[in-house]
Amino acid sequence: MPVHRRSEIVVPLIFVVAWLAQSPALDAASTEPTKPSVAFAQVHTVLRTSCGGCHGTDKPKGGLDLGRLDPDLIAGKDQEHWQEVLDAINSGQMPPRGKPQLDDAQRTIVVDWLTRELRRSAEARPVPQVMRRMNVTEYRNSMQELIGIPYDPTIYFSQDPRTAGFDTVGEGLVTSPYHIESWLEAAEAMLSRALIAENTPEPVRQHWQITDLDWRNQRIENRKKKDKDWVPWRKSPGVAIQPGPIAGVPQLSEVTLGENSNLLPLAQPIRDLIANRSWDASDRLAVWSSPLGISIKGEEGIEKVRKLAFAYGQHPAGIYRVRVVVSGSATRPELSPPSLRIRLYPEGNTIDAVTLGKIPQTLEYLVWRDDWKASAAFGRKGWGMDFVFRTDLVGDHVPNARKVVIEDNVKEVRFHSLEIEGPIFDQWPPRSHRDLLSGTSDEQVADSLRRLAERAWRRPVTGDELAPALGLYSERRKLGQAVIPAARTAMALILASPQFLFLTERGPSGTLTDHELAARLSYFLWSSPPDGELRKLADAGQLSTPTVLLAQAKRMLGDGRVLIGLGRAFPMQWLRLHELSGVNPDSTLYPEYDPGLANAMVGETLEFFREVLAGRAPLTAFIESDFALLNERIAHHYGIPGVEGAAFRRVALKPEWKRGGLLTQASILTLTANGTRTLPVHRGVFVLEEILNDPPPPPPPNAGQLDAVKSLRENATVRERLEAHRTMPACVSCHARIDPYGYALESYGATGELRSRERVIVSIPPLDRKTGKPLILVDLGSKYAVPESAVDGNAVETDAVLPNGKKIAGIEDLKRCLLADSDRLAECLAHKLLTYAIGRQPTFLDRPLISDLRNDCRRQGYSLPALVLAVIASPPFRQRGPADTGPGRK
Amino acid sequence: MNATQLSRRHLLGAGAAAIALPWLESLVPRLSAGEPVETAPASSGPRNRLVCICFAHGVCNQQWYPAETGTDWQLTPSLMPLGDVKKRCTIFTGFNHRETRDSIGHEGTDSWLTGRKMPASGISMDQVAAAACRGATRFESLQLGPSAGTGTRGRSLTCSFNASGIQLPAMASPRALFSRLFTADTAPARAALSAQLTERRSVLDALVKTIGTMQCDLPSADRGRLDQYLESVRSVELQVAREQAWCQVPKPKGPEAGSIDLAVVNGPDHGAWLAVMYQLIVLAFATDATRVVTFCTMSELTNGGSWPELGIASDHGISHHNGQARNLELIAKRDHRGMSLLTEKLLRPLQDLHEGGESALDRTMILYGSGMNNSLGLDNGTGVHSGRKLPLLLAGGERCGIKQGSHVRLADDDGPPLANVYLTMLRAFGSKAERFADSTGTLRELTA
Repeated sequence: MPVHRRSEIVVPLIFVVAWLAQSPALDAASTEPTKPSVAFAQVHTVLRTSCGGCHGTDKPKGGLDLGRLDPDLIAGKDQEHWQEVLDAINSGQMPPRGKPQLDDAQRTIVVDWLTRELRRSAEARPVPQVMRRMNVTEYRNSMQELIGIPYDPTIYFSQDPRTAGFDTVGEGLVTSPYHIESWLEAAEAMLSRALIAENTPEPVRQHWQITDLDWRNQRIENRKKKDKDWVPWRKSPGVAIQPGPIAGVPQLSEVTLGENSNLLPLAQPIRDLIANRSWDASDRLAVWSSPLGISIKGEEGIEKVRKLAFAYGQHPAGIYRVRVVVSGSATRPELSPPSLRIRLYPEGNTIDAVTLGKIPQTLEYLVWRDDWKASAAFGRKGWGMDFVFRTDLVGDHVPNARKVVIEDNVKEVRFHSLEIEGPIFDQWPPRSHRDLLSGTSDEQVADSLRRLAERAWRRPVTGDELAPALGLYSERRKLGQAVIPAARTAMALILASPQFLFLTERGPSGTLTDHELAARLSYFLWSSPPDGELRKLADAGQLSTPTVLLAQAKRMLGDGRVLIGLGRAFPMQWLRLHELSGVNPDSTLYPEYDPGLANAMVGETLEFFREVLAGRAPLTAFIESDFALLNERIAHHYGIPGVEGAAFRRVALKPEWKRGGLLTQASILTLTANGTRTLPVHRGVFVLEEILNDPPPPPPPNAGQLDAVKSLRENATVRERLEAHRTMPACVSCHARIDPYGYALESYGATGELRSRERVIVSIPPLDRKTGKPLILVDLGSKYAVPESAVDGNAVETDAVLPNGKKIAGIEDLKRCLLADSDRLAECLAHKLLTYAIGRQPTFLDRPLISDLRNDCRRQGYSLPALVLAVIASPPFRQRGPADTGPGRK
Repeated sequence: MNATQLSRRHLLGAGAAAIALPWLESLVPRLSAGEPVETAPASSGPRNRLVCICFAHGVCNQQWYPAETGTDWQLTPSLMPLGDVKKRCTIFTGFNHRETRDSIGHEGTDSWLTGRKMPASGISMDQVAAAACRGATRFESLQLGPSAGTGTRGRSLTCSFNASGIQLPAMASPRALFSRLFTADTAPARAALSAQLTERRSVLDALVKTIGTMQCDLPSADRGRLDQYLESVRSVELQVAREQAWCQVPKPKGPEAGSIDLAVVNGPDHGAWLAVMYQLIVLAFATDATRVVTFCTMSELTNGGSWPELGIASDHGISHHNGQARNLELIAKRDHRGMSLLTEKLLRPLQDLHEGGESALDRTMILYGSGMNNSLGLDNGTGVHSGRKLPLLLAGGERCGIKQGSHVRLADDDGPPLANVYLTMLRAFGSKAERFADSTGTLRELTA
């Protein structure tokens, strides 16, 4: 450990303190809002009396003389040593066993002072803003925008780390050889698909439609009986369902599960491409001779699923549209409805997960498919999709038999219609090709390369800068390559260049140029490159005019691209919604949980955020709201009646439903649990970090261990375990700050369900600890016929004492307290939006600005769009951050 | 790290604002499209191999560690699946990294192969090995992880760090890994690949020129980023050159496309995914695509994976077992399942893979362990989730000079550092390294 090997000579402590008293740093520090609850003198006394015996000037143990550590954690060099002192005390390693221990007051003095000073020290040593590369989301959107095909080249990309909570912060975005290879491959893959080789004949666009595929009802309503390519469905008994007309409004399903889905929402050019086409009846001519194979499969693995799969054969490459109209219902509607997971082959990735309802819903996907020779699905050439439906299993306990009778809860899944159409293009070659390459003469190629470079590099390009691309083109031509492959190689170069991949910001004197400002604005609001209008304004040097900038920001907030930018990438990270995919609730305890529910959870939170972002509610709605954004599945999960269909809509809440605000949303409650039980500490940390912007210090080494556990009974509640934890002096000071928020949320279980008792797994029904009678089994069924089952456990307790000493009884009280201090939420969002927007962690120099943003936000009725505009108008948004490092850090 | 890289880094680090444009070009060793390649495929020497598999959240100590030491140890419940492979394994008890043994237990994966605390990490052990067999195979090394990427401190997805201390991103998708490893080996496919690689080399070549046109009044931190980019470009140039040379060499027979379920993803069924990843490692060795693999099977501080057949929803969830019998039993079941997958899908297939009169396991060292000890509190009351007494197993590699079959238990935490085990492995692998991290020498018990 470095602490054992200190060799520098440090000015004796007493002089340091005397010097500090006059130092400007200390004056500056004293104006900080943090209240100086503990003076160093007190800390010094504790350390000298309790630790000085071993760690004093005379032969200090481990070479550590505490008196020589510099108490100035901002200007001094001993932060690391102080961190180790804190860790040693927190973890109980020091003072060592057998020596006099610190009492609670002493420990609090040292721990509080060190925690506060270490945090200030971290803030005062800002990490410099480094030129950042695009993250995966920005890269994917940029490539789709530039090249104009809905192909996702990033399915296998390395995911970016988040620094300070966001993947827009440059510090963590490193480049490795794997990144370079990925970018090169992605550029080659997309360009070779978008650029059509000369003399390629126009492909025949085809359209297939099959209607009324009804699982259970094995009759296939095949309107065109002449189709000979049906794979017959397996016979199984079922109830005949009346075929009916297709009802319901087509709705564009938004994919929330996969980060790397190959789907809508699309970049603008694609939307234009589709929207500008008029489809008439002749387009809809079905080609029934297509080799479209459909099969249905029974159980898959241990999951109780059924699967409908199709694969189809000889087809040209291009953009395909798949539209599925599907509905479903359950035998016992009080349990969860059936859900559907949709996978795309040959990749095999899940592209969507939806819940089925009585109202038929239209799912529509635009996908790029390679030609049939390049794809293989289900063991044959062609591409395919499969639809896996999973459902609740209804179980009934048979007394004394220790087994569960299991029955499938799916009553019906009906595919009203399955349509495939493509390749879709406006004329031949398609616009994506023409936009990239205007012609085959040398001038046209040179002109096309310049246009691509200017769009990709987001600024005008000089002749020198373009020379390598032009040189590469002529080199390839001289080697005998045809125009289009040679142009493709040169374009790949432009798209693998750092000028594209790095958002370079190096305007004179730290102020962004208009082009850099355009990029910062569009990646902030859209996670996409600047569009034509922004580029034009930047070319004309007008974008930096405050009124123009503001007008553009307003225009952009109204554009659909906000749905993939600030309305998605930001809340996904702020509220950690990505982490939901890592939670796999125990299927015995939570049989109602499946990917369809997870998707609905994320959908609810995103829609709720967008409602506030659109200004239809103040940001205090994040704490408490009298409305929620619900669809049938999530409403069913909450026990809220009257919401039908897959579309989210604003629903007025009744108090007895105990929902409203973010903290009672199932997404957040699930990701702050571990799939088996709630984690009040994680929930408390979530409130502190994401709502109050007051992150607790990181846990000391060996945190998470409950030494006192031996005194606990086997079925102790989560809360009892935590309280045991809190009796340990090393834990109490932090946990008193963290846990109360989590306790108040104990009325929500590990999937966000409202509860009054813990749900636990037992083999034999346990006895109620108060009445002594057996607890009643909850009818949840079980996957296996095993005696293990989910039952009601102990009652949860939701009362708590907040760090300020206020007693609260539960969630309502907590919300009231948080609302009374809404400024902290506004400040938290100001801090996070600024971080996300400018790509660096704010420093203490940014604090006055963040306070201004908060105050301004309050004056504007806590409007989130107003806050976003204020961030854009703020000086840091137009500037590069501190360019270089403080001492001792690279 | 070679001298050229060092000097460039040094120059950049000096923050010399006066460095003019040509520094980029002059300092980067270059390979232009037509130049001969330094790497020679199909080395005739022995195929020494290394696999380092790091799992998360430690083990259930009571059911893992044998009571006996030396060669007389008995299989414990968690090690039972090893069966007769036992004699080809060494179990270690009591080893740790000095620098990181007291950090938060969940940071164990970060430092497992480096012995250094993130973010100031040094090179990882596998990369020292990879450098020792540079040029022998198409891929110097492979990094596999629970999801694609590097992760962050405490949530690493990879155990590998290059010589500059940059974490090397892992691949997680069986399909992505498969398509990287195996391409059709027909004459037209070879020609197409060769043409594609030539094209890619010309792009890489031009990339360096393009970077040269960038203004060089960048602040030093930004130059550091460009430097990272350039180093990476250079490394890809070498990789492409290797692949191009490789393209013309007949390859050992690849796998049947249908024999592996490439659609399996990590998450819902961790065990099923592990099995497929192990199969792919065996295939990578069988085709001599690489000789060094690191595999971080699970990220710490996330929910971890699910083991549905064991009734485990969250690996991390049970790791906070609180001494409860039910949780410890689940952890032991998980350990047993992990060991059974390791044995059946990796160790035995390697043992059965014969090449040149010896089995692949004879020349493959498999290190299997965790950066965390998760039950210490139960033996001595000092707390759990520790970076001390790491659970660790080394299998195979006898023909590299590893003596197998014993249980090496240290009397206390301050015995030889874990880096001594690593150094012993590196020397057996063929590296000339004199030391690694905080090593003090090789480990007698492993060297016969």
